[in-house]
Amino acid sequence: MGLLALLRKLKSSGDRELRILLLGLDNAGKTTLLKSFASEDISHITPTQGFNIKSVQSSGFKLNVWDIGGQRKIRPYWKNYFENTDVLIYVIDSSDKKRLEETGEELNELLEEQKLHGVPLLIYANKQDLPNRSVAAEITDYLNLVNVKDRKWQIQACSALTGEGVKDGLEWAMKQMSSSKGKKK
Amino acid sequence: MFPAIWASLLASLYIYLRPMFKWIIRRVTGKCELLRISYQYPNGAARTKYIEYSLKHSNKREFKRLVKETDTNVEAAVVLVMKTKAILPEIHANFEPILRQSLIQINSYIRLQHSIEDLRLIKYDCDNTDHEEKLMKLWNILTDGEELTSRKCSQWTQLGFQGEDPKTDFRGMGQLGLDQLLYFATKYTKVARSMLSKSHNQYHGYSFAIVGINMTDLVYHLLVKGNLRTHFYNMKTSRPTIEDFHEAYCYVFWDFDTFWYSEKPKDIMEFGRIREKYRKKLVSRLKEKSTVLEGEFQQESQ
Repeated sequence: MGLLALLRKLKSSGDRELRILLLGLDNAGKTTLLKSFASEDISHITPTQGFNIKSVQSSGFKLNVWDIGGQRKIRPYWKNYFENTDVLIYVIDSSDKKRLEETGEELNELLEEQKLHGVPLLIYANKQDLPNRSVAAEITDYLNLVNVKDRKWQIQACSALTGEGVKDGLEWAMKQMSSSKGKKK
Repeated sequence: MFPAIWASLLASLYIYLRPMFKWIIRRVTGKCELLRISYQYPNGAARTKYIEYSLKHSNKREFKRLVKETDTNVEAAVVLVMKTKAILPEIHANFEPILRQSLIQINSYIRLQHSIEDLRLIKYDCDNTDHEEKLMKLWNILTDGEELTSRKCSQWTQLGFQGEDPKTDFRGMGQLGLDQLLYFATKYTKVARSMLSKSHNQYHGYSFAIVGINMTDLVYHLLVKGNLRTHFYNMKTSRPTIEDFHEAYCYVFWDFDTFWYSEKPKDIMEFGRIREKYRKKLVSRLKEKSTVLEGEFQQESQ
């Protein structure tokens, strides 16, 4: 390894930039989670037309989080954001039992995407503060997550509203990145 | 970077030295700051804003309070200012009506902020018949009475809601978002329907209803941050109503629509960029002293 490359490596390990992609159906809570990552106010959210992006500093990482709108009309554009994704975060509204099937179908399609091959998957079972929600174990069964064998995955129960569980999920995501980044470069 | 540092340095220096400047000018002209404003400025936002600034930075606590509290008694405030500043109405006949008008404008802007916040905080609720009726009315007006097969169905996406049930789209804008969409559709039906129909364009269009709710978010923040003072102080000498705020919304939604197409977006994913560009443009327009947010379509209907 040349000196220049060594310097470059040292420099880049100081402030590692990572790309996180937030996907899920409309009204799953993606934007609220994004704001929660950045410790911003969450009481003025509106539906996402297009996408939002935020850079968040977290334990030595610079996380570039891409939050893409979830309405059916926008889903065809999701693929434009796959490239170079370090962790895929898929958000589910655990209280919307009628749309569990739809959210499962979308997730399955994502898992077959070539550009997302092997990318670690974090599933947030969001809205756990609501009384009629499904718990994480039910969602794991429903989505048949045990069959996901081509990547690391984790399901995290959370409430973007109260903040519960949000940090735990993010920590898992960063752990995957620190182990996989070393191998990649 | 350096000009920014200089500007903020000069600004804080000015705040610090302001009492001294004021004292000198008062000695030279024989008039206090409020009185000078009443002589120098014509009717309009610049005058009311300067009076507001002067009261806000006064060293008298009772003066500061006049531009902060909702329940200011304007008549009592006029008497208080004239008495404290020893301004004789026989000599400065115009001062009293100017001060009164400005205080009314300042106070009613604060009140408007509160009533709008109250509306925003009401979450959309399916068990609230008023909300449900308004939603159905919105459907009927925009579609010209097309039949809705059921309360929850994919037809709502024709109006630019995200899915089968619009209730989840109002979110942080609550009832305010619904009220503004309905106000626009009811009062300017032709304009709204034409914007809706254009928004269906597969490539360059957008989702009408959720962009409408996003525009509520835009005008709401302009109201909260005080940018809309320019518009209201110019437009109304009396108290602005919630309808006046909805009118500003109608203008902004319509104006954004024009801006959107003029930017020739490749697809909907450009929304964030164009929206931010539009917001900046609007904010800088509201820094000009004579700005009033009103379109021709609004004048025609009056």
